Amino acid sequence: MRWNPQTSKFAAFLTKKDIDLRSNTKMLYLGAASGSTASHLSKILADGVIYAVEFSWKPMRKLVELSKREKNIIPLFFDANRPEEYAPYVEMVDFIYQDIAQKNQVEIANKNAEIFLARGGVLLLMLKTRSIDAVEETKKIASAEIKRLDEKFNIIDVLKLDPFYKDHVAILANYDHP
Amino acid sequence: MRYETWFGDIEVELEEGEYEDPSREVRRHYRDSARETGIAVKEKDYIELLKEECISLAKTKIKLKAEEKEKSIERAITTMEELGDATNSLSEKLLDWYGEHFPELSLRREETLEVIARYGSRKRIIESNMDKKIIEKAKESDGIELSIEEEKILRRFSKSIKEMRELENELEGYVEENIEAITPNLSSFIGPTLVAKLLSLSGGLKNLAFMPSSKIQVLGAEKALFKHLSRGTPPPKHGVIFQHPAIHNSKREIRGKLARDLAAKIAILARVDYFSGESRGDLIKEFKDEIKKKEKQK
Repeated sequence: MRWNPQTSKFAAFLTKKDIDLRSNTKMLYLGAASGSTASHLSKILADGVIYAVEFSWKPMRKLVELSKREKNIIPLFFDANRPEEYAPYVEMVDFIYQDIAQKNQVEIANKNAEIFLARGGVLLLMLKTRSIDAVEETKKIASAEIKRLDEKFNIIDVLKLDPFYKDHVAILANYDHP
Repeated sequence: MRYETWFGDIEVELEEGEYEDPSREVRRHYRDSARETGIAVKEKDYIELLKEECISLAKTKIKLKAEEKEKSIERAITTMEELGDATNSLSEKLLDWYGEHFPELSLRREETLEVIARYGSRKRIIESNMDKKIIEKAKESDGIELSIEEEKILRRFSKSIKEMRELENELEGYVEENIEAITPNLSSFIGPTLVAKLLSLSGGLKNLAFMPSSKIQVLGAEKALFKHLSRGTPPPKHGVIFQHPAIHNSKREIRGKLARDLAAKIAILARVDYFSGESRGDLIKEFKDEIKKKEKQK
């Protein structure tokens, strides 16, 4: 199946910016849903591993089935708000990809990076601004949220995801934690 | 310090002050630690074993969630059924009442309810821009007069019934959507509506999964079944599964056979849904084809 930027924010992001995804990348994917994006990523990260966290049981069912087919997807039925609960299962990773429509998206990213993101690791955060404020301008919300990112992050790029996704901003950052 | 990991607790001594956050350092070496404990000796074993662990954990949690959800769906199903019965008998009462006033109005039930809610008395119908024929009928009607008070009550009554119908539809949508999530295989085989009925008759997916197909076949025909057992009347061929088109659209002579076959397949899929929850498109296709084949046989 073709990787469609209309249905995957990661694909939409790649149409705007080329990032270097090594095949042995260890990735923590927060908000993996039923795994359509994860299935594409699993091919790119052929020698790596994807720790796919999802907290809704309906998509989780599909994710479990997918993980049986794709050898490098680990399904984790946990709340991304409580990383300490899945910490026993997840090693240090080089990449956190987050796509969660919650008000505290940035807080979730901070908490997870603190525990799992290796020094020099990358965060790609798909910020859904409408989950934070229903009326405020996307730009304003985004800049306010970026300020709330942990200071250990160095922002590399901030990109809007239109025309594929309205009210979404992709934040790419580097992590500098000893 | 002891650290909890999926392959057991590990003891790691790190020199104080060497790392700002020692747990990060420990997490960097999960694979090495697993190897040292003798659990994942080869690199690729680590992922394989971890995945096995996570899948079984996820499955247990999914089952718990699904069971929780099932209870709320069961409530929704019984509410929906009672609401359906109630709206039917209430709308019957309303139509009887309104019939005294305008006996000549021969529309379908839902349309009549709409007319009552919107206009009420014949007088208003005559003033409206409705279908000429109906206005004509209203002019010549020999029904009894309606007082303003009565008209108000009837209109209100009709609106309430419409609202109850809407609630019923909403409940139905909720039930169907969630039934599909709980029983992906059964729902795709016989449709969520019939699954809902089977679940409410059997008392839940667990019961259905443990039921012999002979019982599933006559679920909903208890009266006929017990009459058969106590008085020796012919046994029922089908219970609620009669509503499946393969049965009610087929010739009477083969309905029994089809019911038996359908019930057997339902029993299998109920077990797949309960114990694994995996979508088995292949199995469903096979079952559907078999039923189709049997429908055509004499």
